[in-house]
Amino acid sequence: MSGRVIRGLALGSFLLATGVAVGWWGRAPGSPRSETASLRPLAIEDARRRAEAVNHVSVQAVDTSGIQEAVRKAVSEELARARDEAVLEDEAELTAAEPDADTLLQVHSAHQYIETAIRSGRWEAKDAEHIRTLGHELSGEQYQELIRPLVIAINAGTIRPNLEGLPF
Amino acid sequence: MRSVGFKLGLAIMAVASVVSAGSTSSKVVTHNSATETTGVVRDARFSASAIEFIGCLVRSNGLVLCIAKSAGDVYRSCSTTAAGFATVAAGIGPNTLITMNYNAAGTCTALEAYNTSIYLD
Repeated sequence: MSGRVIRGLALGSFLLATGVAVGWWGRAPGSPRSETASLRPLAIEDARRRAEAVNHVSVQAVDTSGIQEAVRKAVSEELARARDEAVLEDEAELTAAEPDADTLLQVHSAHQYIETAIRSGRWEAKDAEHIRTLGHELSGEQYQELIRPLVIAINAGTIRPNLEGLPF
Repeated sequence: MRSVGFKLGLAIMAVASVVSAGSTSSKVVTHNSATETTGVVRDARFSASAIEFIGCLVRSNGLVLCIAKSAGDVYRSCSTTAAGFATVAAGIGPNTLITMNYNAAGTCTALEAYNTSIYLD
């Protein structure tokens, strides 16, 4: 008998507790607890979306900016190198194509020297040495143009080199 | 005694045949036309005339100058900076047959350096 009483009390306590609990959670709408509970899934979902969006954007930003920076740097370096090479080539061409004022004067003088020699019909060792020395300051093309009248005159026989070895 | 003379004769013939082995040729400086000159460097050097020469000068600036003088004291010369000439000119040696072609402006239009045993003396 007492056992039945005890089991009955226990069952009653359990039912009471369950009822209280259900009553507590099942309160009327408008209570703060109820609002929080109803908003929780939306808030979580919203936060998750925001987090994903933020993460997505931030990852994209890091990668893009990194690539952009790398490309910008590579392009800048390449342009700088091309610019430097172009400048060097231009300078080399200018150096070869445009001798300094002294050399230009010497070239002009040498042209006259050769013309005078052609008119005289004589070309000697000292003349050859004079022209050869000047040739060291000139490019191949410039020297070729300088001696061209002499070469033509020699081939035509209008000037007869009087020396041993090369006449220019 | 006859045997010794015979052997000596054979030895002389053998040496002579060795010395003359192989084909040789000689080409002094010759102006073939108004635009072509040929000659072997060594043959010009050791020609009967003391004035012959033929050769090319290669400068570091790419200029090539070729010039030849025949036994008749006639000069022919040309110059160029065109690609390839410097390489050919640099290959000229004592036994080289040079053929240089040129135009009226004194520009080399072709240059051949023929290196062969034929021109080795």
